[in-house]
Amino acid sequence: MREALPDIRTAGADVLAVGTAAGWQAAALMDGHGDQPPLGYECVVDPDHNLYRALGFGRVRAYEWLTPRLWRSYVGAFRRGARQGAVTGDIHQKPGVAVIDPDRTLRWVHRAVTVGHYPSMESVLAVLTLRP
Amino acid sequence: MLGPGDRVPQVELVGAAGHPVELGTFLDRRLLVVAIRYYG
Repeated sequence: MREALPDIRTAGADVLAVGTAAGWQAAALMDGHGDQPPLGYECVVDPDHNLYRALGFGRVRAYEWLTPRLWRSYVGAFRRGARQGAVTGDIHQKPGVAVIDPDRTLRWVHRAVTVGHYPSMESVLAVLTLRP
Repeated sequence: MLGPGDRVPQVELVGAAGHPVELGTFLDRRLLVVAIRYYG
């Protein structure tokens, strides 16, 4: 998402990252830590899962931790540079991406089928350039 | 479950500094790409 931020902003949008983990982790991501530069966009947390529930993002069921698809996603994320940090939030939460219009109308939503299942940035940018 | 065209509720989130913040705060005449993920 960080790499696509200039294109996202050119399209008239901004990015908000939402996690269920601790606020200090959101702050560390925003400010940069270790060899990671600052994200360049806002990070907040959703400790009560308000937005997560509203958007209908699911949870990883116990048996899914044993499926090859989950581990392929996990390895793929690792290869892209993602690293597991301190476990502070809900590790069973599936990720997702939503595009919301200024009046809070949901324009588009991607609900992950497993961990690490993210949409391509091309598909997100295509949604941003559509006229409502 | 919400679908395209539905209104997202004005949910309360928590900023990195620990203060409550509403989703609408980030919708300042812009589209918003909301990425929900596990930070850890």
